[in-house]
Amino acid sequence: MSTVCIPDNEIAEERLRRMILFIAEGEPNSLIAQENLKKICDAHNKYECHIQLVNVLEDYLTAQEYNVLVTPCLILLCPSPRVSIVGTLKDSASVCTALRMI
Amino acid sequence: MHCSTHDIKTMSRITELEQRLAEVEAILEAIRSQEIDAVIGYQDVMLLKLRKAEEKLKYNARQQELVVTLGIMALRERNLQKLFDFTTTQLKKTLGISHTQILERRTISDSEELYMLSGAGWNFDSENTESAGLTISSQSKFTLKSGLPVLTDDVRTETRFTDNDLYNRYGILSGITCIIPSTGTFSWGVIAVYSDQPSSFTDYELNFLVSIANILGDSIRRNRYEQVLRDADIRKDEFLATLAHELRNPLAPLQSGLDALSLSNLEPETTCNIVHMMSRQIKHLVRLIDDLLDISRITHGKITLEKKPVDLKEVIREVIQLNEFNNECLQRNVTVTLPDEPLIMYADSIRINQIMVNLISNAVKYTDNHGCIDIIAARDEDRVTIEIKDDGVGLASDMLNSIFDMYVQVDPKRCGILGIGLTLVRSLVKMHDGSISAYSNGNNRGSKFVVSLPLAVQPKTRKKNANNDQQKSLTGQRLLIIDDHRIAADSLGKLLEMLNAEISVVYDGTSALQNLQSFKPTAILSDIGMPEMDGYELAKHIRSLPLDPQPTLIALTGWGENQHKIKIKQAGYDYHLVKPADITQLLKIFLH
Repeated sequence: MSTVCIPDNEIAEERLRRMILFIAEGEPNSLIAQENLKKICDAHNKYECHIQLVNVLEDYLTAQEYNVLVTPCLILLCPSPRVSIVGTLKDSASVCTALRMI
Repeated sequence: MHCSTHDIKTMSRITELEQRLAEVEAILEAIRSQEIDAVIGYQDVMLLKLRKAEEKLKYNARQQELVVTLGIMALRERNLQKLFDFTTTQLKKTLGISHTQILERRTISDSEELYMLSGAGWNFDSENTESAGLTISSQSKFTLKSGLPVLTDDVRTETRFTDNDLYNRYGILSGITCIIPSTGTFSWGVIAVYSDQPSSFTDYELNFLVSIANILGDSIRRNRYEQVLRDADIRKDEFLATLAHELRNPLAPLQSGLDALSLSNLEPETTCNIVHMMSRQIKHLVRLIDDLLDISRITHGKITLEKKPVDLKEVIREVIQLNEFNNECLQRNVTVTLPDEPLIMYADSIRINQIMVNLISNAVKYTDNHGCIDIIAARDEDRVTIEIKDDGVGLASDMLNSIFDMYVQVDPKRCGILGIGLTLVRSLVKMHDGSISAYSNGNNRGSKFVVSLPLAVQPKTRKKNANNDQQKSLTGQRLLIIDDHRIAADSLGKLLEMLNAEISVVYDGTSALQNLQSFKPTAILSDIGMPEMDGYELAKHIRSLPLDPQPTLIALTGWGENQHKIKIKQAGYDYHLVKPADITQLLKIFLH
């Protein structure tokens, strides 16, 4: 039986999830999406989730930069490939699959 | 396979487009399921909530519109069913829900039931309570009991009431119920809205439904009051027509009697019969007018009771022996059951007599010849219960409650019935701290009136006067009669003359004073309302004269109000009698 060693930095990259959640602050669906994303990350605590919140009501240029058309919208930046999910993220199983958090 | 750079670029472009298409599809799906807050454009961000707010505003405006429309309709519409049907249909439409209903509370055999008067979205007969699932543990009954609005988010998790049969059958998941108010804290019924979706309602809809329920409550109250007024108006018109008829009725025989008496060659027996007949008619007229005056006095709170010990047994006997009943009672089987011991009440004997006369005359009027009338008086601890039972025309069940109301007549075709007798009786009984109830098994099955009156705390047997007053003569009495109504004065003079009194009749106060010295009356009977010198002034004059002995002063007048009684007494009169003079009362005064 052989053991394959994976370098620490690779493990860290494997478990790192860098995301941007575009929201319209104070709006109900955006609030639900924030809550749902938090629940998902809490439930999968082996992954290190870095979430950047962008309030499009204050900063819509960043949204345009990422080709975001609607809020709430979650974009997985890292690891690639980039994935975007729109809506309230209520279907946690589908969201996890898309974020590759298994 | 060889791919050129151009091909690779094209394929990459296709993949990118496919990705964008997938993203757009995901966005569309999110929009469809209402999970999107805002759309980001080239220049700014458009919040979708503006559209939602607009929809919400429109939704609220529709509700406000319904409140206004219903308010106007409630003021105009006399047909409540139309108002209810409009409400249930429009509520369903305005709130975009599955079911609505308006339920009326009815008390049946001491239990409270709810009946659906109008509904939308159901498929059962609106009168079928059981089908409406309105059991004791239903949401509607719960609302009725609590008196507060009830909002159910999801019936599957509801714990306040257990019977959700109705919801299960119609796929109802949420709802609001609230009471339709009536007078005071009494609720008329319940209004309900239901949805086949969970959490369909908020406090906003709840307040909206409360507004609708209040409008309906006001309309129901207004309709009820209007109906009461309309009924009273109809009864009043009928009463006036009957009154005119009843007042006219005795006049014809009186006219015939007068015509007959003007013939010179009448046999004494015929004359006697005519006079008896005329006397009966006059008594009837007097009673009608007395009843009318009494009811007016009672309504205005102007009657005060002159209480003294009265033996109810004697009152009943006297009433039965009244001339006006004698003949009619003889044609019916009248049984009177009285206890051995006296039934002494501390009461106004005239009013107790009036109660008994009215009740017994009713029994006589509503019982055909050869029918049975039972009058039973029995002591019940410190009260007496008087039952007047007949097997006459009886009372329909809907009449039992209204029979004591003003102008209500059981059978308007029967003569001598004004519809105020029982109102008067009830008022007089109440004034004596008593109660009266009516019972009947229905039309033509007889009726029973039960009166309960308090007995005197320490009953004392009234001292009986064995002498029959009427048989005594007025020998030795010198009576001066003063009345500007010459016929009334002369006829009274003739009557008293027949009882061996010495009579002098004058028609004004001055003549009376002149006559006083020469005639030396033992008693003076004077009218009060007279021209020049009225009865008050006359009495004051007489009392200021040095007469020895002073004559007994008796005021004989049509005025019976308390204020007149006081004024008459202050003027110096010893007695006050209301016209027409009752000969028995006069005899009592002269002989005592």
